[in-house]
Amino acid sequence: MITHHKRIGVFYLLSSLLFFLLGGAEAMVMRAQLSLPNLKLLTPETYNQVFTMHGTTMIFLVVMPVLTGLGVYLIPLMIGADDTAFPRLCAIAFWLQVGGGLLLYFSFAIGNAPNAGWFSYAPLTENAYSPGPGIDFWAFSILLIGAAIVASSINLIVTIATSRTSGMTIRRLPLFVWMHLINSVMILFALPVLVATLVMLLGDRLLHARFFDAAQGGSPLLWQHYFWIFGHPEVYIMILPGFGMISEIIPVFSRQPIFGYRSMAASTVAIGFLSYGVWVHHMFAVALGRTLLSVFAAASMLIAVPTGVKIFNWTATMLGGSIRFTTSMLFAVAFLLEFTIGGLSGMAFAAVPVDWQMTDTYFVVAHIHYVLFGGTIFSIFAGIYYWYPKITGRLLDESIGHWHFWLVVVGFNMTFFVQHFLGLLGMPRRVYTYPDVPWWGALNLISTVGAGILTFGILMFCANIVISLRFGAVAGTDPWNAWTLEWADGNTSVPVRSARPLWDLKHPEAPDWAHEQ
Amino acid sequence: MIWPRAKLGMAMLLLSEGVFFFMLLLAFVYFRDESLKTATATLRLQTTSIYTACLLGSAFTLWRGWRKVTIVLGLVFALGQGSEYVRLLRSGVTMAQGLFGTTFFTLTGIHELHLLLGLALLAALPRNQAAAMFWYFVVAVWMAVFAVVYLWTFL
Amino acid sequence: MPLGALSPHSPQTLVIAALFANILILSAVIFLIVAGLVAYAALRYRARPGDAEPAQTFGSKAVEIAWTVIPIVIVTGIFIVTVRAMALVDAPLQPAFAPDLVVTGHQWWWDARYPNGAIAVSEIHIPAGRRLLVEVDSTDVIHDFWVPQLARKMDAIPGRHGYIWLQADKPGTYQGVCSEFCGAQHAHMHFLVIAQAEPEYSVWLRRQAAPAARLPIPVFERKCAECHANSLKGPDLTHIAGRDTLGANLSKNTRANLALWIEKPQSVKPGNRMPDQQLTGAEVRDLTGYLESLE
Repeated sequence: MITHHKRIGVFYLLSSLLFFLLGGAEAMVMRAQLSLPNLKLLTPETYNQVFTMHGTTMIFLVVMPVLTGLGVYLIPLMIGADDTAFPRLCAIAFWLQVGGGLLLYFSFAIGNAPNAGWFSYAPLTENAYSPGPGIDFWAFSILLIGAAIVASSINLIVTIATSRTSGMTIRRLPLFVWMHLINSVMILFALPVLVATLVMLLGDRLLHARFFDAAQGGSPLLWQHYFWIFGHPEVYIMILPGFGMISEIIPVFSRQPIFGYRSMAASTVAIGFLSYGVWVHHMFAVALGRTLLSVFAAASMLIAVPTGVKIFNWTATMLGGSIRFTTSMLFAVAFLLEFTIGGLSGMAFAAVPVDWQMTDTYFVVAHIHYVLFGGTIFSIFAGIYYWYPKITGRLLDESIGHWHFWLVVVGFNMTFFVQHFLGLLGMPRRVYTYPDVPWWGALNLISTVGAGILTFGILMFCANIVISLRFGAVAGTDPWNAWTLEWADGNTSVPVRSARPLWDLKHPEAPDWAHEQ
Repeated sequence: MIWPRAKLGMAMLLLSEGVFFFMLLLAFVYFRDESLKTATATLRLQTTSIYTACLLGSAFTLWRGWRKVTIVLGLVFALGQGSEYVRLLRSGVTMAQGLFGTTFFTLTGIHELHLLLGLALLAALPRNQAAAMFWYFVVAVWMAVFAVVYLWTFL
Repeated sequence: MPLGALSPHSPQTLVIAALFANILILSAVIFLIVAGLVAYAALRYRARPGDAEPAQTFGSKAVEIAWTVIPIVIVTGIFIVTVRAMALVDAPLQPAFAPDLVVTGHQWWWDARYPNGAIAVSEIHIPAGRRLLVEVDSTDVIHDFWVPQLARKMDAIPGRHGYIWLQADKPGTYQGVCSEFCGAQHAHMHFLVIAQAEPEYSVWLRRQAAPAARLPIPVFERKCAECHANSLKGPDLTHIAGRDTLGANLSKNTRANLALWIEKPQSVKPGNRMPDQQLTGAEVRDLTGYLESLE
């Protein structure tokens, strides 16, 4: 069995790319159906399956695996280890995740995909309202994928804890590793909540339990609480590794160390803790009483602070630097702006009465895509352009890269910015069609056209990956003149006395460890 | 504290499993008011206390290194729980019975599965410390379940 | 729903719109600051060929404290105005008095019950200018009652009651949608809130509470009453001819649409709970005529 971290890492990247294309196709199908009012390209049942599969795929089969894959590939290199702590577990986790994906898509193939949204509110997902196996497929798939995610998190934590090369103290870890460490601990505490919730749902559906069935004395509200106790940390789990990548990329292309290494790490720990105390903000539209809502509003606004200051740290890193706009850096800078927009629209939701208008509308669809696509996916693009030469020995083509970048930026913003307005104008989410209300048709059409442009950009990305594999410029071990151990050539032994061991090696006249931090 | 990898990995797993059981316990507590009547009518504190004592004893024997005795005590508990289940099911208390059945069987059933897995690990890996940690966890979870489901119902 | 949340027509939605406007302005300022700094950095510190490594800066405690404290002050301010707005907008969690209206979500329509016994399906009349306490319930899955020009949205959760203030400053027709995914036809669970001046409203309310204009015809008893006489299973039809729309605001209430609905409901709203009943042409004609008389 193949267990080496570099191979498993590449496997994760390839499987995520495949599912990204599937999830993207699902998105295009949705956008086509929504391009004009009252279209009948899809039946409501098909649309509902497609949007459920889109969300489930992107979260569980794209974002989480690709971030895991990058972690598995890079963390051992960054800490000077030979492999992860549990190589066989590493491999098993990958195949479990693939198995979950195959199970989920099998349900699609037999026309019985889940159709209740990626957060599957009960009692809609009880047997009475969702007969048929779709929801069962969904639950079992996510159980498999969830187990895989927990397994790989355990692996990463133990790897970071026990396999660091000498001199690599916790305070000298690359921020990429810090973010993954905190992320992995968050996963340990968040995923089991999802597992419990799914077990309870399957109990209801298969064994006639009554957890969530209001008609039988159960509590639909319990589902909402339990799901979001997982669901909120989950969204931070989906962005933290992205923060880690940006924290490596911006410094190297600005030729400056990250501004405020310590507070970057500390603020991330704060986010880790705080993220378990905000979940009710997904439920502000439920009658829970102003006191409870106010507490969670305060926590939700508070968590914006450690998240937001990172934007300042990254920007400050650029100031006083010498910035090279490679495609990787372009995506990293775009990330700053897109994630800021996403974070600000999130702040609007923390203001409860605004949430009372905007939740469950296209305003929230805009928000989630700004943080998950403009945030996470852009950081992944930046990361791929940055580490592709490490993985393949060749550079991705910069001209294609620039096409990819501009098509994606234009397409992405065109698709999702107008959705803020659609939400304000009253369009709810998860609707397979909509009536001919003023402006809804025009804005939806713009959004669909944007999605088409975005699709082109992504196809350029795929083309770049394939073409550069064969024809890309040969990269050498350290194409970006970077500073962390993954760029070491493997022959010279690099002493670790700071967070930038290669900088110290290249600049013996001004090493980091001589600087009082 | 420098732990060997397997033990650290197991500790991480147990942290996660702990959260999992906590959520199931919480669900039991959430529905406790509606379940109380059935609970008081059907649960048997004395019998279960005896089995619980055996399980607690098995943690002691494991700590002393007497693996075979541990497994025997664990099996006693498992069979005891099994007979409790049979008795409950025969008297109509199933998963579908109502909120008590739902929460009780989910919580204790999942625990039972972990217990059986723990016994298998102890038997298959006689000197493995991580397997021992798992067993301690299984006992600890049962003590929490016993306290919430049995003691809190009757005391 | 012309302009939805952007055209508030009640005191409550006005408060929310004002709060949103303030947050929007603040967000725009913050974004411009960030974008400005990023743009400045990109232009001023662009690498030029032959550049040496710049002097390395690692951070500044003072700066970091400043840009942590200032946002905390800002969010504290936002929190205070948020709590104030919540108090102005929100109805009590457990009101001490009976609601003026009970709105219930079903898969896939809304109905409203009035204290005098009237039931309105999909077209909820209210008196203009008065603040009403509305209870929001569900009989099956979680729905969400949202009429953006008039009120905050409220989840309709089976087994629980939510309460909102519903108020329309002026007479008019305001569009509403279900805002929680609730199954196959969630997209077609629209409703109207029709605010009327008091005299017209009183007339409507009295007539809506009156029994059906005609007794049910035999074919209705045989084929329709099982669901429609029990308004948990099918919408109340007592005054269906008084409605402008059918199928939860899906189509106009014309003879042709009504007949089509009766004959082939699955072709109009696929997945809805009314089965195609294989009615004969005569039965469809009779039923259409009967329902048309139920003003």
